[in-house]
Amino acid sequence: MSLRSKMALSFGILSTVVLIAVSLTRTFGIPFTSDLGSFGEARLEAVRSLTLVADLMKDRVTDWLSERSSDARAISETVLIASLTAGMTNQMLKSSTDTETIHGFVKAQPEFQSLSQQLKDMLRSYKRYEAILVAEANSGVVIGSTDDRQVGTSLDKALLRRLSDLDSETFFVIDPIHADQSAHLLTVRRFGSAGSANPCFLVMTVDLERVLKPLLHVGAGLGRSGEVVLVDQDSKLLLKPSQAPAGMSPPGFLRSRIETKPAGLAAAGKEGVVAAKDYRGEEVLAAYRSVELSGKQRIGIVVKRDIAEVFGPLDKRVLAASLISLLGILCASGMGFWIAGKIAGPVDSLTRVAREVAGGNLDARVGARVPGELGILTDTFDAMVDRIRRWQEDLESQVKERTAELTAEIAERERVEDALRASEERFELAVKGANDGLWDWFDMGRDLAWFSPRFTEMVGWPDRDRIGSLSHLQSLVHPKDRGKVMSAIRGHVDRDEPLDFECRVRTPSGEYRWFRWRGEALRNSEGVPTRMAGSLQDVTDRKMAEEELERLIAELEAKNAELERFTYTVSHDLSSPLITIKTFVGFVQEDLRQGNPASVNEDLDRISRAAEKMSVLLDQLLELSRIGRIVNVPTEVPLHELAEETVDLLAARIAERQVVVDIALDLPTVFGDRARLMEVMQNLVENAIKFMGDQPNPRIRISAEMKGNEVIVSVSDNGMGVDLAYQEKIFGLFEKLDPACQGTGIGLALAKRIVEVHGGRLWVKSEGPGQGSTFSFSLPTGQEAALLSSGGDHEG
Amino acid sequence: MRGEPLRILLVEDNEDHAEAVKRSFRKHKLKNHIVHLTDGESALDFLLGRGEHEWSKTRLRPHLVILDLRLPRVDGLEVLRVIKETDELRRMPVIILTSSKAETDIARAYDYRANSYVVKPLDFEKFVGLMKDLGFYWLAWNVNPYPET
Repeated sequence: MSLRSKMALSFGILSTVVLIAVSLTRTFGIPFTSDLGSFGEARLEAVRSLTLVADLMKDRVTDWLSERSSDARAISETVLIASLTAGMTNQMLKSSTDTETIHGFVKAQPEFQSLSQQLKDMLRSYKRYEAILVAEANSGVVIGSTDDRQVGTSLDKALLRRLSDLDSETFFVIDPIHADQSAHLLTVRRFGSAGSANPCFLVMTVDLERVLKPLLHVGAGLGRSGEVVLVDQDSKLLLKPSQAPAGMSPPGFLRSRIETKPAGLAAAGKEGVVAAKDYRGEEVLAAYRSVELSGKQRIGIVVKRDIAEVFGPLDKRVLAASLISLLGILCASGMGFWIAGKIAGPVDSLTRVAREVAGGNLDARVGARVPGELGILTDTFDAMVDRIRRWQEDLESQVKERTAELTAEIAERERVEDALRASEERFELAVKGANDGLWDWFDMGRDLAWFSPRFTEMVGWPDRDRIGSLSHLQSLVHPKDRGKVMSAIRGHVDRDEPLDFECRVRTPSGEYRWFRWRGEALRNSEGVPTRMAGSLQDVTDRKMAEEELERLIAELEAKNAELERFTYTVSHDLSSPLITIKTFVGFVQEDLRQGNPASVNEDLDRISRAAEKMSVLLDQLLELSRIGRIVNVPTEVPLHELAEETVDLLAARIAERQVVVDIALDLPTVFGDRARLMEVMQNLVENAIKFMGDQPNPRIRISAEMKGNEVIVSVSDNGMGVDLAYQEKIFGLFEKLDPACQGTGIGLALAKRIVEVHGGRLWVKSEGPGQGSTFSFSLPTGQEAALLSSGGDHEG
Repeated sequence: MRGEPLRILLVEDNEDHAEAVKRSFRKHKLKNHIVHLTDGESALDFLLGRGEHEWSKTRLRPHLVILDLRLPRVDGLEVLRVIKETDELRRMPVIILTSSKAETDIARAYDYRANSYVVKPLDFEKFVGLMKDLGFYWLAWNVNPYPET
């Protein structure tokens, strides 16, 4: 089905449903509301009028019956009729009861003729009655009648029995069974029972068809099909209906019972309204009422109207509405078809073109200009197809180009692979042959690194550690080098500085070896290193040599500085006496020139002392310069001898100051230059005497002790002591604490130098001024002393 | 020329040199009053007034300090450093008079803000002449940083 028909159908169905819904609502009302719709209202109206008519009919019947009752009473109470009847009955009692006899008897009596004549007169007044008769109640013999033939006959036995059973004064009997095929109602009145006379029945016959039917005419109020139907208690028709009941022939229908619901309900004494089929088999709306007669007799009144007629006008309206609806539907469908065409046309062509494009025809276009959104859609579609076409063309040319490139690329790749293979072989050879270890931190994220066999050999790892982590390696770096390593790596990673550094790494044997690391990082597009690789070189030997060199340079520099300091000191201390000499020579010359000899002698003394001092200085400087070179062959030197010789040498000054010198007994023997060590000992003891101060009981003690590989020799005194601030300074060249002190300031510097040349140290300990002081020097024993002897000609 | 004598603190461990200085001033009839101390420690004691706190009539502030570098106990550079780091003394002119021509000594002396650095001449005439110039300059031309009260 095409889009156009789908849309048209949808429009049609939609408008149909809407119109039907509207007319349904109009006709049948809205459910659950008071709006009943046309049908509801028509039905309500019909029911109302039927009910009204039915009530009216019931009233009429009832009134009519009571009129008949009054008639019966009036006639029966007519004096003449009453008296005649009474006379008749009295005579009858005397006669036999034989019917034939009575019949003849009655006919023979003039009273009877008078009674009948009287009744005939009455009938002329009461024209609505068919016949009036009087019958004796017991025998049922008719004693007077408007019909002469009846006089002397007996009443029907069944009728007589029924009459006898009724107990009221006046009553009605329906007598449908009548020769002229018309239902008759008998109005019966019992009378004449006064005195000794026999009771009699006055029976007045009314033809219902003739008398009652006109009363029940309903006119135009109930329309064409409006009708009143009377039935007895057995649903048998009392009046001829307008049409013959279905399946009944006209002569018989009055005796027929009709099986309709309203008739049945009315016959049963019920009242109400019902919609059902009537005697003709037509659907009717019927109101039914009943009027009670005596002796279980009843008149059922059914007022009915054809449903077809009730709703007839409505049907017309419905038809008209349906026609209009149909017209509307047709119009709507037409319009729908047209609109659908307007919309579906471009869509259809769009679909067709899309299908073509999908099928591979990129030349297909919608083309047609359509206004509105659809136009945009079709234009866009066309533009899209254009672009697809261009893409396809581009793609095709690209594929061509790419194919050509790929061919070239494959060739190039083959060439590169060959080169790579060659390169790999070269690399293998290089790795095997290289003296450098190689490392490749190939997965920096997971800290995985590859190490070449030479690498693991160099750092002393087992071969299975060829794959390892760099952080493990970092933990083996010497703690002092870690900072340097980190900053080198950071410098390379962050600033792309060349990665080249040296550090110590601990080998499994616990020894640190120097390695030179060089490498380079591979970086991703963001410049973040992803892989780092490089070489490792064992530079321990070079590093050791460098360290040794540095140590030597430092030593040399220290010596140089010392020499410089020495030179300045010497120049200063030598120039001092020279200045004195020159200046005072000048003063002396001047004084002599001016003939002023007062201070000449004093000045010459100054000159002489300065010259003397200069001479001592020069001697000691010479001495000091010699210490660097041990000229004497080192020998075993018993310290005890050394101490005693010193005391002997200084005996005069010791005595002068009254110093007690105490030499320990357990002094060991050391190894060294005897003459020099003698100088040290002499200097220390001399100093102790010189700086004894005001000590009244001066004492000096010379002792020694072994400490590790050293002998420590001490000279203690209880003299002036040395201020903590000057304990270092006193060992400097030309340093003197006391300007008044006679000395060059070279002594302790000299002693220190000698001890140092022997591989020992010289130091002082003093609690401070006045607390005495202990000068100690250490000398190596055993191995170190032996080394000293072998390096005896070493220049210092 | 001021009427008052030039008060000099001479710190010199060499007795002969001190005598030469004094005699040079005398020879040129420079009015002076020289306090001679032979080591750094006593010089600092004197300047910092250890024991006596205020400069006074009995303890006059020197106009000039003539300082040798190589001194016993506390050397001249240390004395110079203390003078220049002490608020009370820092403006006091300090002349280094030494036999050392060592560059390090000269540099350090000036680093410590010595006001002048003079090397003792070996020549008699020059020695006496230097003392005369020195005396005249500081007595006649130099403005005393501490106004006399």
